[in-house]
Amino acid sequence: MTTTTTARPRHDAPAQRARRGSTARRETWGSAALLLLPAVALLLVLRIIPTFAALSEAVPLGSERSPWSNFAYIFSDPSFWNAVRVTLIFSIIVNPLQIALALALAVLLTKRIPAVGLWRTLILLPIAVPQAVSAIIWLVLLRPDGPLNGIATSLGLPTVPWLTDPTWALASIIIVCSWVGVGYWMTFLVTGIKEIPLSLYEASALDGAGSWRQFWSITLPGLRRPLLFVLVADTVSNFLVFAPVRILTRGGPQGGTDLLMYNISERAYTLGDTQAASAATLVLVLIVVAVVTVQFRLLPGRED
Amino acid sequence: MRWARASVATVVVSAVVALSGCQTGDGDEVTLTFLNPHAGAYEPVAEAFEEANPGVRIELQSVPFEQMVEQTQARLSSGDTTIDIVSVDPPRLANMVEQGFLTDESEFLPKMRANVTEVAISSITVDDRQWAYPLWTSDNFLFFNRTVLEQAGLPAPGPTSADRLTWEQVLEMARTLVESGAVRYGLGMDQVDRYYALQPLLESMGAGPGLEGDENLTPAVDTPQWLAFGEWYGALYADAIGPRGVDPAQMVDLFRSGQSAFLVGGASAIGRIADGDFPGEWGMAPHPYFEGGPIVTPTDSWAIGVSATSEHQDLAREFVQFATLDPRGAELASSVNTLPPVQTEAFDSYVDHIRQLAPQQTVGFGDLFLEDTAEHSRHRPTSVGYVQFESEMNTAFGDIRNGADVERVLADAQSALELQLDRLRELSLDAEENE
Repeated sequence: MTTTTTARPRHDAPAQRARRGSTARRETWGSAALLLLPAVALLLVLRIIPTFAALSEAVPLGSERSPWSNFAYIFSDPSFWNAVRVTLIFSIIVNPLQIALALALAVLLTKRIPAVGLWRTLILLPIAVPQAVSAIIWLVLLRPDGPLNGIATSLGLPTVPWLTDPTWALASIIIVCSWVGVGYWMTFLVTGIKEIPLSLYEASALDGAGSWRQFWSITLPGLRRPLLFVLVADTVSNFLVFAPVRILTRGGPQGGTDLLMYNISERAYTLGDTQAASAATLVLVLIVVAVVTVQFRLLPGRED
Repeated sequence: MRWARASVATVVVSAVVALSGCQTGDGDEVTLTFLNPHAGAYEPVAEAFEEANPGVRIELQSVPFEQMVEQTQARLSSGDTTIDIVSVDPPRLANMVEQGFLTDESEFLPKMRANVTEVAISSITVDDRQWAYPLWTSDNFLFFNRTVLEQAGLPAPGPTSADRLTWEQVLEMARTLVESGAVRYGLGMDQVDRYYALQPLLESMGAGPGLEGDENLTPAVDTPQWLAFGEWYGALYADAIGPRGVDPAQMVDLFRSGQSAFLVGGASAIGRIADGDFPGEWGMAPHPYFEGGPIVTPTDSWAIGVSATSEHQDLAREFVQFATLDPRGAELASSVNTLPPVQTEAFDSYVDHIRQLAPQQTVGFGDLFLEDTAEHSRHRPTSVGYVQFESEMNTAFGDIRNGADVERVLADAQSALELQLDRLRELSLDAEENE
């Protein structure tokens, strides 16, 4: 240590060193700021500013009306409460369904099965199809006289009122969303499974554990973190489903598929009531935040 | 630091590229953007205008019909200056005027009067002022599959107003054809579930238009006559005479492919049916009415307005006047999707054009059109709440078609409309106080 100190040139006084250090720090900060700038700017433009804009639109200050009048209006509107109800029912069904299917597929596709790459590609393929395009294909498939009912009839099965009955229409939206979603969420879980050490499986096999036991005791605990991510991200994305509703059902029949996002866009862009739409958006954000908070509490990501 | 400089340069270059995209290009070239729901329809008139005005380019931004209201609302309410010209649906005009989307064109009223009909001018008038230029008018007809009718030994409907069938007669034939298996469906509507197509049926049955009172801001869609119509409309689909789950865009094709015996459709269907390989012969007849009720036909169609936020309003106005008031321009603007222009000279050439498209089927088309417009047509209600009304009713009609309980659907629509129209009054009072 002493050698290094004495070997330094004499003119390298502590003050100079400090100056050089602070210049280096400034440069680091400078490049960090520059690198972060695009992300921060986008965050500001696409997230923060719109949130404040929605807030100021939803809470009209400086008007004769009460600042809460827009909330009072949407809370007095049965169609808003119907949208909240439909959104919650949709979420309660679609999230566990998508995650269970994604998990099952992930486990299956990490086993040694023939042509695994082909299966994975096929399952992932729907993601590559734009949502609007896939919704249009489904629109034709699900028509009362469409191919799906055609197959059902030829097999002697009863036809299904896919998009013309409120309950079936919501089921159709769930199917269409899952067709796209399951493959996407599966990829995160496949990666998670591959990170679990093989030795754990080998050791447990020696101890006589079957594959069911291995799934519960090794795979599932090992997947906690990716599962938490998938759960939260999937929940959020399902709260924001819009395109399939817009194309397949337009919220109908009888409000049966009127998810909140669609209800909001109708208010803003068909009826031109951006104030009520902003108020409804804030309610949606609050619901999402509340649900995600509960999920974080119930499913801790840390190993304990 | 070299990469930092490079990235700054990239940002600057992309900003310049982005900005130059917003400009009009070299020299004095000006681009006018025309937002419309009629893909391809304005290409001929835009080309003619560009030829006559070197340095001007008309960019046609066509969106699907269903998205037109949303696009207009979203873009014009945010003050989008890149839209210069916009298609206007007359019943929605009052609402667009209230929101300040359009320029006041009243000073050109004499020019309008010299070229288009008074009925058309009234469709673009709000509070005695003119806010757009009427382009087309409309009417609905009963298209029928002549071959299928003849094979079943049923009489084909005649082409003149005197031959007009009642709905009772049409449905009886439709039912016979469906039950015998000659066709899959009896009756389709190219604007199925839309108020535009159903208002004439409602009023022929004796129901009111659905909006009444001062400034048409009071909904009345749960009256006994509305209920009676709802039951009739629901039964049409419950009995599988009309198709469920087929949307408006697919209806003409359903008829064109021979799957439906009758089609209620506008003049734009003529070109589409004549174009395809129709299996056998088809024909067209006047719009039916209910026995004992008045004959009622739809009217009005799209107009064109100048956006209040356009930076090239004078030039935009020049184009709009060319496309609507100039005989040649109006003829070109009506040449693609065969909708009838309100420009009087262009209407005559339009009738000739239609006659050429389907010479056998359109005998007496011009006379029928003029008679319907003059004697039987009803405007849709003019109201700032028309947007709310139409959206709610189109949804309600869709629900009835899908088998929902009519009384419940109409009661829900009535209370939803009361809530929405009250809200509209509250918001417009607030806006007035802030001014």
